[in-house]
Amino acid sequence: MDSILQYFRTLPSDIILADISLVIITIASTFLLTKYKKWNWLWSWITSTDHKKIGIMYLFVSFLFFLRAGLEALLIRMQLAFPENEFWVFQGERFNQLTSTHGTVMIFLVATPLLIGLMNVIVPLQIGARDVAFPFMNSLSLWLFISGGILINVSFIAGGSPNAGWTTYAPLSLKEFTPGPSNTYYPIGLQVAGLGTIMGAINFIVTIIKMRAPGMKFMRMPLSTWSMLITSVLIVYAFSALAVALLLLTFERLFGTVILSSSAGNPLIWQHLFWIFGHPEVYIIALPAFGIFSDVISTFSKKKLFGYTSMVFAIILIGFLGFMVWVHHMFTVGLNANINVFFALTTMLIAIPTGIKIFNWLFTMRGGSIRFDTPMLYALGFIVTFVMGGVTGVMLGSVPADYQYHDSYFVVAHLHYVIIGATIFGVLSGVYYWWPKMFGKMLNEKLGKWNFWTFVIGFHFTFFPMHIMGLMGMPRRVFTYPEGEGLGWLNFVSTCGAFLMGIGVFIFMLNIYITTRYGKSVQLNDPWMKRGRTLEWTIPSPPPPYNFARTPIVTSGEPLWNAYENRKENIEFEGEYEDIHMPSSSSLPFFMGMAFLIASFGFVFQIWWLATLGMLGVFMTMAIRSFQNKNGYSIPKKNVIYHDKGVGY
Amino acid sequence: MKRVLTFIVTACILSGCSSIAVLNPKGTAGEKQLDLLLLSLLLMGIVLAVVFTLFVRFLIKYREKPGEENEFPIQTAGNKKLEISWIVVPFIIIIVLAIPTFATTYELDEPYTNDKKPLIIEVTGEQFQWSFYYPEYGITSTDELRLPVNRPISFKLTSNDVIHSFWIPQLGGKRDALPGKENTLRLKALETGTYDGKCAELCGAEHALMTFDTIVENKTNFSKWIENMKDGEKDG
Repeated sequence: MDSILQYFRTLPSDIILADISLVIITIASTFLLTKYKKWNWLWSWITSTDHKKIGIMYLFVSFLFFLRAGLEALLIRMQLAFPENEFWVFQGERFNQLTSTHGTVMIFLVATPLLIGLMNVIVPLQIGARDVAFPFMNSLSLWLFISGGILINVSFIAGGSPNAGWTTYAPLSLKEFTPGPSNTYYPIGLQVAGLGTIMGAINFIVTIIKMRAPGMKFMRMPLSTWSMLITSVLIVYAFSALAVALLLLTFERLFGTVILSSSAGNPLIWQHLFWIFGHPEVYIIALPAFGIFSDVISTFSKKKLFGYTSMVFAIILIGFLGFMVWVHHMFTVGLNANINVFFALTTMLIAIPTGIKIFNWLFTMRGGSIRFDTPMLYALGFIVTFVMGGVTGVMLGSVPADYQYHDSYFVVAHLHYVIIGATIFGVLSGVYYWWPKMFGKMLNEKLGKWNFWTFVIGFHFTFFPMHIMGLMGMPRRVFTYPEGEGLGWLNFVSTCGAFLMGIGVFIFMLNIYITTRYGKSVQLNDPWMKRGRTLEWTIPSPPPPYNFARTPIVTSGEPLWNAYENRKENIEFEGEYEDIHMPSSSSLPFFMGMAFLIASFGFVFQIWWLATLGMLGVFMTMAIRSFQNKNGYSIPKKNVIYHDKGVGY
Repeated sequence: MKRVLTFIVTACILSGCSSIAVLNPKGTAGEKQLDLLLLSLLLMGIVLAVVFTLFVRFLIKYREKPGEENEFPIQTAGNKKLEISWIVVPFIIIIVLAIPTFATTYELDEPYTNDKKPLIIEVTGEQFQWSFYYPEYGITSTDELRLPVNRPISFKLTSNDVIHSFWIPQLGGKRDALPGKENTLRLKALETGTYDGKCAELCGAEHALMTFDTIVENKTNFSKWIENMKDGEKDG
């Protein structure tokens, strides 16, 4: 007992606080679930194979991670608010942990899964499918992502979190320089989550290629679906490179292979592999956002997307070029000039397809009839922000000038402009846009506008000064800076901006709470003032589990809009009503995820019996799945007819 | 519009503010890099101006006016001429930026010829300090770098442990110091003075504190310092 007490006395105050809040949250949620008898309800979500429910869980869990990493961002800004500041415990090593987990969580556990979650809900609806191609694997993807996420997120209260930056460069990330479990969490946690992401991508590819409604040719697919198809292809190649890099790092840390060390190996192998993944990753989290913006801008301008074909080819070109620019993250490592100029050129070339997209969006609005609802506001905020991030991207591509910008706050500014500007604005735009489709209620517009303006103004105040800080010579990832270099007031402005962004996120949560509690059901297939253009707006909000009672007829790229133009209320559906065969729910993905979690803890702490136990669990659930005979269930025809006539017409 | 204004105001502050190291270079490499920065800023300024003008114009002109709720605007699929123009024009802008980028990259990579008599300094980064060895004089200095003004310098960078990055913003861009490898950074300091030097690659707990002073001196003062250092080493 005394020794346990002694252990808690040695802990820093922030970890004790985190421990206490974790205990309180666990007790509170257990109490609430029991009081309102919601355990069965929770279990039905956990075991669901419905793409809409899985998508919503993706969104929910990644939003929790977003709050955690956002809180870290605020702590980072507090420590940097004044020169030579000492805020709480966040100096030196602890500061490095903050920045490392902030970056890792935001990229891998927020940006990527937020988009995957949203697309999980939307893509099958947009192509007129009843679910994704592999519903069981979809659920497995989710649980692998969650267990990888848990691993990264609990690291700081269980042995120390990763502290070598989100890029985790060797040799700093090797055992020699960062002993303990800290940087072992990183490769193992991301490996598990990454496996899920690769499976998810395969699922999307097969779904989009094989399950489109009759008549939906490739060149009739909405841009969100197109971008998710290309993104999925990028994921398959890029995350494989990451898997290799993570495996090398895991082996190095667990078994002392010397592949990445500077003595017998070469630390640059890590940088190459990481960025061969890392740059396509930027497009993995940007392209789906581009797709969302294309749909949103077209809907809220009441205009067909300008230059649809060139938009599609621009996405493909961006995806292709995205694999040929990775060295621009490594201009200063001392590669020869020939290599550097080649990658400078490819980097600058990406500006062309990106420029095509920006101008096409602008010209989509021309001649339209623009409404400024929150999804559109985020799309417009994106255009301004992303263009600014894009031009600094071209500036960074100019090798000699990059020698100055590299690893300075200029890069920090640039990356937040593009990632928040595209991905986070995109997700917020998409969430406001499709919220009525997902939950049958509109998010409050007034709060939505408050949310938008606080978040966007806060954003520019936070990150615009960082360009100047970078040019003043402030390197990345420093926990302090000296007085008298003129950095003080810029950092202070930036910190204030970060808190304004925090207020924006708070208003967003308030909006969700108020809407869910007091909002009225929309009862409409297309709640956006008859501006909908694509298939997801032809079915009830929220859609029935099987999405489409009968098969939609697709004769153009924007079937619903064409129906409106012909003064019809909805598109035509074909065929007779039938019994609908649905995939059965399964608890195996959940247990497999948990088995991976147990195994991962075993590997991180090198407790081999635990690792073996976990892996046995993994193989056992796989075996059970192989011999299981669950053929789904069927929704009777009369229920389908009842719901379709009752709600849809 | 507000943000455009913010941008212009900041740009004015930028150009008038000498405390921004990168915009106020005192070394050859830094000057060339600034030229590229300004060129790219100018080109990108044009792009921003075009995009923001169209953006504001379209938003004002095509917003939905009361009474138009049930109208169907004319749907246009695209416009070949326009679409080609925003492929060609960016391409030209990129070429304008790429040519000087390439030239400067090769120029900075060019080794010194022997008649330039470069001063070689072997820089070693380790957690968390910098040491500077002057093979010409056989002396080593820690966390203080002294350079003679107007003499070409060739830094030979390496590291004893993890990756560091050697950066003196006012003299020129950074170059990584890798363990087990040697990188070269060439520049010439053009004005005497004291400049901040830093480590730009995350290298551990005290990464933020791994700084050094760079003191650029005239020839006589520099020689004096060399003599003092030599005496110090003998005494030590």
